[in-house]
Amino acid sequence: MIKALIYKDLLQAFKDKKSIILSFILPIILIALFALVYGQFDSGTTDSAQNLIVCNEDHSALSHDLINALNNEIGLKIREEDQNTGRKMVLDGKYPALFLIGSGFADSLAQGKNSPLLFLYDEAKKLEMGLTQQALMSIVMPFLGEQGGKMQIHHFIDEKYAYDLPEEMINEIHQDIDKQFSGDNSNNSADSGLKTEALSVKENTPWGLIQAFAGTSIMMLLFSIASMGSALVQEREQGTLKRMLYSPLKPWNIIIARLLSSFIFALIQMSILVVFTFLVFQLDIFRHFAGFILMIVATAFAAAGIGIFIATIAKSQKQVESLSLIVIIVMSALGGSMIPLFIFPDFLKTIAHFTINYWSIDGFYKVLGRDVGFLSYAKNVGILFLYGGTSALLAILVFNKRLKKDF
Amino acid sequence: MIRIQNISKRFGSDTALDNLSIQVKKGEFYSLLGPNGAGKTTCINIASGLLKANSGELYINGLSIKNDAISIKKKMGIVPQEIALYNDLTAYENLHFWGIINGVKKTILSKRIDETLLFLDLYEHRNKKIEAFSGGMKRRINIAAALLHQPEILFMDEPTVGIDPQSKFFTYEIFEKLHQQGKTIFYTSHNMEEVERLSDRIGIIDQGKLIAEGSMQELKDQLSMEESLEIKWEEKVSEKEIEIWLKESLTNYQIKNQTLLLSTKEPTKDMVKILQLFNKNNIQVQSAEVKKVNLEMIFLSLTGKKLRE
Repeated sequence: MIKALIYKDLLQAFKDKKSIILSFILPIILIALFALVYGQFDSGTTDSAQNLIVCNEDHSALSHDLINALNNEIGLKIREEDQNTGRKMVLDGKYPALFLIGSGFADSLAQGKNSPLLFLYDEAKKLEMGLTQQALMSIVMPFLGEQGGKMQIHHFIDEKYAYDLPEEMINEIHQDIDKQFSGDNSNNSADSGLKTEALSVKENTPWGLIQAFAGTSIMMLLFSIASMGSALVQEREQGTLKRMLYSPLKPWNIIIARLLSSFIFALIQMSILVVFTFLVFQLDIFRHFAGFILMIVATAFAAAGIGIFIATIAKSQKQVESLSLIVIIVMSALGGSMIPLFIFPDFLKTIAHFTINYWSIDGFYKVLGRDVGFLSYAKNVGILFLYGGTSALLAILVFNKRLKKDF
Repeated sequence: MIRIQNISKRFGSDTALDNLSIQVKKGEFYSLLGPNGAGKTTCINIASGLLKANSGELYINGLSIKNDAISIKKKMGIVPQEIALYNDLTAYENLHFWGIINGVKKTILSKRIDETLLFLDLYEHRNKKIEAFSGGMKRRINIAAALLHQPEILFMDEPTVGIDPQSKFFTYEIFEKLHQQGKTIFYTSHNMEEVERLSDRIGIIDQGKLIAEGSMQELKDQLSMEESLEIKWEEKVSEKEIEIWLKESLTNYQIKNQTLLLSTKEPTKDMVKILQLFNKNNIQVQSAEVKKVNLEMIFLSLTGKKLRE
């Protein structure tokens, strides 16, 4: 008897597609994703090179040597800019940090003084900075140790003995010093004098709060939209969809209406979340209020589009639930709602661009924490609208095709 | 009013409708009778423009469904086989939605809903959620949703499936009233009693083909079907004894299980004659019954199978 019960329970469990997806497929996808992200740290060879702007205001041979050394570091992707442009790029969130080699770098190094080096980072990317700074210091410290020590000895020899010893002998001493420093001197180090500063448009911008608001609300928005979309499948199953099609309505009217009702629901949901975050956590929503509203509208529209598309491709209620769960979890994990993107390998960072979470979170960072113009977040708004529009269009096409099969 | 002309519809290798032609006159109650899977719903789906036929034409009031689907849809109301309502909305909210969808103006919709609910004896339940309704009440609201825009033509796809006999009779009365109001009704069913009771004309469909059509009398005449008598006598008299004196007086009869079966065009006259014979031979009759020809017999006679097989 018990055997029959066990058999029946297992049979039902394995016939339930949602249960199969939740129990096996989704965990496999997430394990694979997290393994790709976190596994790179175990091996010590991260595929994730950190972007860094370098401003060279010294223009000495030594500063060029330092930049060459930084270029050879696989953990860094270097872009040279002047200080003003570099600062703006960091403030706009385009680059996470800037390394400034100040004027007089080579001289101060030769004289054993603190070097005019400055590391400026985007306050919104504090977590990311650990990795960038680590990669930067792994080059700068040995470089300064080697070059600084060598230059100080050359400088000392020239000052002390240049007038007392023959020039050939002085040259020979310099060559010996160079030879001595040409070996593996990676352990040499010096006090770099490197100063670190956080860059932010406004002091104490609550980046953590912005991340929490943006990341979570988009993920939850997708869940509720998927459930709104699933009502379309329910309509098909209970016969009300067929009845609508008997009426003078056109099929695309049904999809557009469903898209708009999901969109309105999403707007209401987002508005409530905004009011809550504003009242309880004092999130400053007025920095770029128009931009903020645009981002909410665009995000709600994109989510509604995704929801309706999933609802049209699914054949049953169970299928729509399973499918939306996979899409939402994977999109949230890849798009930055669950894991910060900077630790992703490069190829996953590229894939992240296909998620609405990525464009939405990035857009909210811009309108809530940065001092950017319309054009900066217009791209995010545009892509989100495009996402929603394309999904809706595909939904109409799939819906029309399905009608011929279903009835 | 409705002209279905050589319609064929295939789903892959299955033929749902095979060169089907039907004409329904204005104000006529036409029933399409057939077993499950015969093609009845497919026929309604094509008439409503939901499905496209592979070949053939369908005209409503002279307009082709291919070219004037929207105009045609405004004139027709369709009662689907499923109870296509929103369980979590009230009767009023459901009807409001279906009224708007079918183009009823908001200014008159509320009045129209009340009238329809009164007509269907559901007015007092207007603010109850559909989930609280009985099967019969749900069926009536399902019908109401198709009446709000006052269509000239009603397509009803097995609208009484699954309801109790009492509700069924009430529903028949509604259909009869609609018929009396002059609506053209295209009705599909596999229930012979209701089709016999309600219809002016009946079409019998099997495997996508219309195999017979006409009024009940016309169908009987077409098949030369007669009424039948069933007379059962007391058990102590054997079938052989009966047959000895019966064959001298009757033809076209059968004897089976102590029962005499006879097809006849004059059932009353023949019944009297047989009972007199039994009386004359001192045989006591246990039961005597005139069996009228019904649609089940006609269907059986046409297809060689029972309707509910």
